[in-house]
Amino acid sequence: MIRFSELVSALSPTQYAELALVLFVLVFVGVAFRHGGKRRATEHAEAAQLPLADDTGWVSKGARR
Amino acid sequence: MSRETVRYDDAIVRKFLTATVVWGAIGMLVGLWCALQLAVPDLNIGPYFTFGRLRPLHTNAVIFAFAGNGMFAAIYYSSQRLLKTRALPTLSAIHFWGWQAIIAAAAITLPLGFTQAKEYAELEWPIDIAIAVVWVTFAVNFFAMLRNRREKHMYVALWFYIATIVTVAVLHIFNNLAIPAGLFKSYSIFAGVQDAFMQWWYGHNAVAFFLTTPFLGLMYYFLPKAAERPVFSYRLSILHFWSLVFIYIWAGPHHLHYTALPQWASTLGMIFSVMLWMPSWGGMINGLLTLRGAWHKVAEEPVLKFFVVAITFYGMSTFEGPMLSVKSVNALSHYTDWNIAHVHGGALGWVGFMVFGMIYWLIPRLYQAPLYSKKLASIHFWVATIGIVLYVVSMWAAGITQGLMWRAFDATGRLQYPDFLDTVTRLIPMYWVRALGGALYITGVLIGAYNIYKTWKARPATYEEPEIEVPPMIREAKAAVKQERVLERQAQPREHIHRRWEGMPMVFTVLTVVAVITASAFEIIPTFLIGDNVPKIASVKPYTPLELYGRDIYIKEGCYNCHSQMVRPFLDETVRYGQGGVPAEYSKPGEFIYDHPFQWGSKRTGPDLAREGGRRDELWHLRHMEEPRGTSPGSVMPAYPHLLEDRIPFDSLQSRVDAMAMLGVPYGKAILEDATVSAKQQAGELSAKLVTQGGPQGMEDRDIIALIAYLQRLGVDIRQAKGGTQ
Repeated sequence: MIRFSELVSALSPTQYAELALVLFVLVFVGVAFRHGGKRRATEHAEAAQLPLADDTGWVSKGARR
Repeated sequence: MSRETVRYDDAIVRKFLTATVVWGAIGMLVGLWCALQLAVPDLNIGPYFTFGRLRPLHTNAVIFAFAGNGMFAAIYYSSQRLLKTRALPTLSAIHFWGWQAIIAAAAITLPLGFTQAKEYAELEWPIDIAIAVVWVTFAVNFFAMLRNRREKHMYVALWFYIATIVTVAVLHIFNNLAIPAGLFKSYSIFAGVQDAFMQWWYGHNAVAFFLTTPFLGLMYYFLPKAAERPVFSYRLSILHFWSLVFIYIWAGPHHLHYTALPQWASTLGMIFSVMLWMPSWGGMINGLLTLRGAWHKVAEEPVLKFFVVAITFYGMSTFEGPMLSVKSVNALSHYTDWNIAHVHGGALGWVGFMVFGMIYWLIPRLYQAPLYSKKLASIHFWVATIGIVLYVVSMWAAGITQGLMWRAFDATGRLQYPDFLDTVTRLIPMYWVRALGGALYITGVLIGAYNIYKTWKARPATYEEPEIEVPPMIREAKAAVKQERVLERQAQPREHIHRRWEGMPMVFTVLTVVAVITASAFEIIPTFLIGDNVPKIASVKPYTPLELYGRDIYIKEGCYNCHSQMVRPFLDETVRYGQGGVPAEYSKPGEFIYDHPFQWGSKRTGPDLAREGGRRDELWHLRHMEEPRGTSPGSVMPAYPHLLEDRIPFDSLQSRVDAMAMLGVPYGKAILEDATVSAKQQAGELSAKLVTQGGPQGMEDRDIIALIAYLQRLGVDIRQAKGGTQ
């Protein structure tokens, strides 16, 4: 049976680095593609409002001094 | 649909907030003390309060106590509101008190010298286990909030919190794998190159996932609230998150440029570090542009002042970081105070100001009383800002000065500053400026603490805990509307996939884990498994039991905080650390295969010690430890007279040797049966040598002998490999 270390050694370090680069570019392109379009703008705008919509506690502006 | 109500637990936020300020002040005061020790060595009060023992206390306190408690305050406040649910009070209490107990344990054990000698992971194994337990408690509490949430969409801040929780757990567990050799002594299961790699994978990602991602979450929540407008671009925040999580995890090896780490790993670390610049600046721009149309408020609101400067420092640090990771820059900057400038720009500017901005926004709401003084908050801001500038600029100057002096050759081709002390004494004025900067920053913190205290004093007799009307839990609502949604889906276009992930915390968490683990595996597995990475050197042998104990003293005293053990392949280093006019051999991976843990260090306040063996006689070392300024005028090293008094615990040597043997260090049969015989014999020989050199008698059972034995061993094996010519 092939040992795990032999399997890992089958690729050279440079190939690992190249593979890493390809993987990264794919993820980046994927995320950018998913979120690039104007179509998502409304959803994003709704989501961005979330922290502003939860002010329910004690609020005081200004200071004593 | 029926409406339900919830009350947020703000008591836990108040607790964490108090702990943040108290531990922050203590951790920073210890930092100031350390800064002054470098200018005035007499401030080292041995054996417990020397620089080598206090510096880890300072770094652990500000990272895990100040930033840690600040992060927890932010997470409990914002997550409850974003998810419209209450944190589980019992788990919150275990989390809070457990974390404070861990900090107290660190404050006791680090001055006592109990350390694993890995930066920011110094705490010994029993405390590491406690950290894991408390962290899991926190995680359960957080994920319970996600499960019980009443808001479908998980806001971007929550993604950053998820990334923090899962990644810190993974980092902590892997970097702290060790074999105990006693209740407060253990040896890393990794050795040399691999240990160094694991440590800086941890170390850099501690910066990423303990000091960056939670505070970005904090930024995405508290900045819109303070500016009263939504984040500039939610889309950019999505890109920011995924790019950061995916790229950060690769960057660790940039801490090991030109060391014995394989070059491919170091280059990969550099490239990903440079790539990191983009998402970081995307985040910074997103933060700053959130203030569009609200800049007039910045002039009036101390909260926004703190946030703007914090985000600016985030931008500066995340520009400086990638720049320092470029090999040619790193060749100059590494081991110098430039790194100290870099981390403090990030820690004091980014983390510190984010925390204080949040605190000033929170305290009127948490204490239900108006802020005591806006003017004092502004004074805090200005005093601390001036403090950071003085701190960072002085350390930039010190770092570049030191780096240039180390590598300077004169017209005759000799080192211009062959005496390392020349490069130490030149920095003293800058150390004073740094101490002044630090003192100003702490003054700001104390002003802030007073302001918080006075605000707290005006609190009502009992806090109002408003009942908030909330929709039903998502998981319950889900069941109810399942059928409805099926119909909806048939009628409408498919819901955007990221939106769906955001509504599914477990899937989201798994994806984050996959991003982190994939990146780690790509770098780590080849480093561990490709055999050629660590070629064996025949002459490199395990440390003798006495040397091993000497190494443990070296670790206990925190020598690695100021001394590296890594001669980089540069002419100025091989010449500086050579002997008898012959340049030294630069450090090779095969030299460190028995080094559990590695001791390469990250800073040269003192000279490198990788080639120390045989450079000086034993008596010099003894005198140097007893009073460093006796042998080396102008040295800023602490004195270690107690090493001449403390006795070697010969009965503990066997367990140390046995632990190393368990890790695969090939000790012979004789040593495995009785390590003390060998140790006593070597101690006797060295002690006799000391006497012939004119030294004191009776040192054969003192700690100093073991430490000398270790120091005299450093670099000796590699010289033998070269037939004694190198």
